[in-house]
Amino acid sequence: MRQLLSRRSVGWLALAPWAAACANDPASLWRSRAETRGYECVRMSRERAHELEPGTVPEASARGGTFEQADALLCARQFMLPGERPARDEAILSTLQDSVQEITQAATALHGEDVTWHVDAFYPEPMVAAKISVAARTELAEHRRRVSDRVPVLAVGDVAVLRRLRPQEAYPLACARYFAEHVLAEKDLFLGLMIVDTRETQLHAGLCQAGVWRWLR
Amino acid sequence: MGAGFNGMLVRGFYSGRERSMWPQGTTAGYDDQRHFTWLPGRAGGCSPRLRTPMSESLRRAAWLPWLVVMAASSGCVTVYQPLVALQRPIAINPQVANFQGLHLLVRCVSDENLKASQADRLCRNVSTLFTNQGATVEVEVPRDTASGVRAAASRGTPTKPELVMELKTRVLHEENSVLLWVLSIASATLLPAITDTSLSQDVTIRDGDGFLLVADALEARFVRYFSVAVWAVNGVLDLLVRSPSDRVTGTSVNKEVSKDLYGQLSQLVLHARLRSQVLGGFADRAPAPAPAK
Repeated sequence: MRQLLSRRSVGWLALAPWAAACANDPASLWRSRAETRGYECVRMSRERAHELEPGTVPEASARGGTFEQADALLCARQFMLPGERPARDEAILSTLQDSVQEITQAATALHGEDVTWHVDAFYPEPMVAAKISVAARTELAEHRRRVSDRVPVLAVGDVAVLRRLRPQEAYPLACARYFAEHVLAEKDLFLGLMIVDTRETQLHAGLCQAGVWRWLR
Repeated sequence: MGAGFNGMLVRGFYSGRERSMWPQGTTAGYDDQRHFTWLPGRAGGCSPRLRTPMSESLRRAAWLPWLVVMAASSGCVTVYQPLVALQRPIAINPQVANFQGLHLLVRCVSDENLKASQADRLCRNVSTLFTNQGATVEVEVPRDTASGVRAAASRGTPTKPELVMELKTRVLHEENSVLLWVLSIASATLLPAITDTSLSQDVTIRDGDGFLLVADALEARFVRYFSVAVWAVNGVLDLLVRSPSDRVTGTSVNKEVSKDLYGQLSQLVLHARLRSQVLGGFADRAPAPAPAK
């Protein structure tokens, strides 16, 4: 009887690590679908996971245990839950830092430090547009560029015409008008960030200098 | 007995004419009900090892009929977790004609993770996805021939495509505990045997000249529970408690993976097309839509 009990105990004890792991697992059967989807997870080696989260992931033993996990799934809860923001805004904002880094890197590679940068974003939602502009300005400032808070503004008549044009015509024309109306000078650079199609969730960018528009991305 | 057992295990992922085919690798495709399936085949909870014919001594065991009844009534419960990118929100509606006039070549790479037949099926399904959205689609499944020369099985008109999409599947992680299987079988599957598989669908989209436009990795994790208890409890919960969007038995996982993967592929192709148009200065392209602002 004692032998039987001990065998049973061993069997249940073997399940203990699994049960403990299941409690924190985002893919647990007891979590709702929305909860499971609310995590971004990356699989990595146990050593790397221990470096990043030393309090959560213990260091692997030097000899390597029989039941020791070789890797770890590191999960972070998404800042906003699915459905809290419109899909396009969420997609743009959740990847904003990477997008803006790529864009400013491409833009600053083309020009020296002796110019003043003006930034504006063209996005249907003004709040999101403001966030995009601020992110781009901050990124440029962090690269020691002279950044202006002033947003170049065109005359009402120009805007009325530009609104009727397609992106491939509107942005080059707006750039030419900025220069013609002396809104931008020779030493001014205008970086525009925009979407060109309402179905997309990526940012495009273009540079305007001396009345010439150039698509960056 | 065996057919019923296998049929039950397979039913979650296959149906109809594909029921007899057991996945050996990892694949993606539609089943006959037109739901996408992405199969962590090698490490699946419904492992091919379960189909090994039992020895004669085991057949004579007194407890076998009971085990058979339990096993025949058990099933797999699969939890799908999008890891990276698959749960990203999309702004495109894949059910409307988004790609009128687009000439797309879809290339599905077959390797140790994806058999040629599975790659072929994946390509067919992706082809259907984009054809339904108005694109003209060619498919290509590069094959390793005996001589080592790569040959391509392609379909469609051999003209220069506007975009070339390449799909490659990688197994990121497989976990299949022998101990859990032993305990599960010893307990007549009352205790679950759990397999955990993480996969990546690598997507690259280039223009007709080979310029890289989009590269992304869509990663997902599938946790399969093989247990009569887990299956029964979750079946009851699905029936009585859970909302339809939270159900874990039946084809709900297939539908969710299908929706995620096809949505992301559609979004990526749109991005690639727009990026190609922007970088090409919108030259000689189809009329673009009105500006967003």
